[in-house]
Amino acid sequence: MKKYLSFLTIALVLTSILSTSTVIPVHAQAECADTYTVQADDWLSKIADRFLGNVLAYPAIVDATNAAASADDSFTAIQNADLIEVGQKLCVPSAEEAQASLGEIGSDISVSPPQYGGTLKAAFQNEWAGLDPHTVSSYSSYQILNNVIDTLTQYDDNLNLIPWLAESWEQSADGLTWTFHLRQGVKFHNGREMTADDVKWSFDRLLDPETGAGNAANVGPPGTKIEVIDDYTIAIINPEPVGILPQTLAFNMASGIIAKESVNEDGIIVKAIGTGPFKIGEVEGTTRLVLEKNEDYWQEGIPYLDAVEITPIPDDTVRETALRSGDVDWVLAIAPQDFDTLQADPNITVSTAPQLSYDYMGMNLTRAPFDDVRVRHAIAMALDRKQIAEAGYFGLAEPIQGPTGPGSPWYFDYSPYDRNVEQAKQLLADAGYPDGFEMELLPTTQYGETVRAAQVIQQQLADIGITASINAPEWSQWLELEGNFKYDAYICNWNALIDADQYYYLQHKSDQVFNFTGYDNPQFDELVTEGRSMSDFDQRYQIYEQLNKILVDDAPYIYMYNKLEVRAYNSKVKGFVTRSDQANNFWTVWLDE
Amino acid sequence: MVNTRYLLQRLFTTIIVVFGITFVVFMIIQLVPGDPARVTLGVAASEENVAALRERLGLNRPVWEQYFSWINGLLQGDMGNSLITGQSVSEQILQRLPATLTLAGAGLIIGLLVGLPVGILSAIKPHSPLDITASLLSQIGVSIPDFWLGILLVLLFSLTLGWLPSQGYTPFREDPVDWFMHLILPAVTVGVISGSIQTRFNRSAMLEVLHEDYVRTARAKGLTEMIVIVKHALRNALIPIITILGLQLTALLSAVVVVEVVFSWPGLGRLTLNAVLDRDYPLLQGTVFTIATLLAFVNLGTDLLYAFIDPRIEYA
Repeated sequence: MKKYLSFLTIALVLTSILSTSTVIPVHAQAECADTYTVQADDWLSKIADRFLGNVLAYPAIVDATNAAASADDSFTAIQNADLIEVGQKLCVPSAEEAQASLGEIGSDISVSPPQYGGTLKAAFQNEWAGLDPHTVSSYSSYQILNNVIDTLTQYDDNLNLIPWLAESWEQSADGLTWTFHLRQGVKFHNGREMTADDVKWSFDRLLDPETGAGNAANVGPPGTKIEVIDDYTIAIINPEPVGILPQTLAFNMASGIIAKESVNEDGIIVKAIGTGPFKIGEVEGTTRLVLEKNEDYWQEGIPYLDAVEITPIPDDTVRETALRSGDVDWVLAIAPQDFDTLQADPNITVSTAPQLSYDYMGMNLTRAPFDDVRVRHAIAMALDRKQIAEAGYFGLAEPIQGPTGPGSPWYFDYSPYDRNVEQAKQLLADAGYPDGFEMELLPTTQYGETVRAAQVIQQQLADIGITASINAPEWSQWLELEGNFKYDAYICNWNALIDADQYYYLQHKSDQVFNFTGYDNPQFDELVTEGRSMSDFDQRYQIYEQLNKILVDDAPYIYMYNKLEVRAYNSKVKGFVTRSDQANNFWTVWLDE
Repeated sequence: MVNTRYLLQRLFTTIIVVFGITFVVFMIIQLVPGDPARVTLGVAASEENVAALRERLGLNRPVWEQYFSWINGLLQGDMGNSLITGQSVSEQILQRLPATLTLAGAGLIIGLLVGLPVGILSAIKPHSPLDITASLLSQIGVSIPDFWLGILLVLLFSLTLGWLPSQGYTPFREDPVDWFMHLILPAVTVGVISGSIQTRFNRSAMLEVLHEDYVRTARAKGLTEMIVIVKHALRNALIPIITILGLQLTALLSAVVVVEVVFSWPGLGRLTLNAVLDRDYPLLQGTVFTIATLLAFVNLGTDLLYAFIDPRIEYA
């Protein structure tokens, strides 16, 4: 009896101690409704706006993060709300917890959890040129398909690779086969379940030379085979090891999974049937398209919007006016010169992120005098990149001397071409051109910033004795000239480059499709092939660092600046994330009305 | 008066003209540099891909074959499919033609409502304050670029005043009031310029007639000024006035391209512009052919109208 009583007492004491500890304020033990890793250009109020619908709600995040940090050291406690670091992990509380913790500090602002419903009126810039994911190349087309089709893997808002339609994957010992395990119960927009057969059909059509798809390389080099193992397992067999296949599959919607019923009698896809958060509803030619909510989307609880209505507005001023007057809620592109006006407007939210892109001059290595590396160095040293960024993109750009910008995990700090007019002139003299020479710059009216940049470059080249003329044709003609070595130096940009491979392989390897300069360096070829056959980040970083030095030294491309991605939308639009890869994902967006 | 034989003859000639149009349209487009396959595939186009796409789109066939294949389809009402989107060309044109006709028509009417009275009144009272003001304003009107005027109107009426929507189009059957609200700014943009041209032209047409002997005779006979002007002068000035109206319709159907781009008006002009930039041959051929044919018939109509107005004209 005594033993039993003492046991009971101890049990009672223990229980009361334990229960007391659970009476400590709720938020110290609260689970994070979301975790978020800080990226470049973030600040707490922006994150608060995104997750809690109110820029002033950030104290709730500080609170939740500090509480989480005391229990889990993957979170860093926040001492100063104005100072957060890239890579810092934050704990985002649910709306109710946030409201409670804000109430405790005496704040009376309201936190809004995402609201369901409504139609987002979105204005794109150009009409989309087709909606067949395997043959399109226009940005507008991809941005629509982005919300309609899913890929096996996906880049999250911090550009980490995450499972998407595939839950897991592994590589064979010889490196040639990647096996993907698919999510079950995912439905296409026509109600049918997605299985490995559909993945095979999509990839086969992409790889088929008859289709003429420019992005077939997402799935692997020519000769890649797709094998169905069972309903939810699929194998991709490459002719050579592609260490980064899970990454390349997420590059764009060309490697998305579509239903074979999407193809009409003429063999073209007019309305793609995918598994994405929205399906294509009404289509009025290329002047209006409505994306409708997919009620059976495989991710629970999203999308919030009922529909997205997309119309193209080609004129910059009219598009901006439509936004400011409330005709549209969200615009895709804003002219960089309108940045300040829009920022000053209290009803408009302007959001930026450094793009994963670069603007550059492509040199024709098959033509004298550009085949002489000294001439290319001279040109590279004649440029005042800050001035070009000011003229070309109104200062909304960071000067760079290599392909990767400071926003990319693959940034290498190697900049040998600071402006040096004397040295540039000397190099030209060494190459046999003491009095300079004449050349033609080839920007294109398709990208206004290239034309503006050309005008500044023209002046800067004159400083070292090179007389440059400017030829600025429209897109179709420019493509003809650039694609056939009919130029001296062209000016363009490459966008949405996520993995290191995208900055180096297809443009500069000697036999590759995007190599329009004629660059041919066997040492480079070897290294760049090695880089893509490996999977470990640190190993690859070392290889690409060497590669970057070789490429920048050889200068087939002369790099100018890295632009800032800018989005502008009505303040009632919440949850939109401006991404460095310029993707526009509408499934996290909701309207605060 | 018009007799049936003449009418049939003119119709026949117009059809010959239309065939001629098909030939010219087709050949000119073929001569323009640039490759639709390359545009579709973009910068990411390897030589093999471009070649494969060209083959798939039938661009490697001899020019004659492509021409006759197109004519053949045309006679059956099939203008082929867009090289870029694969959609039926005739479908796209039919979809967007009403918007352009609406805009051009509204612009013409605004121009008429301004140009006819102002032009006539200026001629009746030359060098009066009205005439001088009209002259000045119409001079400005013919000089300003249409896109500049359009953007200016958008900034004033949409942004600053908030009275009208900045761009876009609502079909009439969906919401007539909204349709009208969206039509006002682009139609005024087009109409102001057309009206300025019409004012100046009508003024000089009227002036010329007013100096004719028969007008002086009519006045000498003691007829009221109103009857002199309307029954005698105006009727004779109608021929040049109708001519300019016909020419204006022609000019408007092509000039609306710019206004359609500024106001995101989903019309044929913008479709044609995109077809040019994309080198979308079937679409471009289809749109240019449609407009050119339309205009051939407008001109036929104008010619026949002359005979009704002026009884002296005999088509034998």
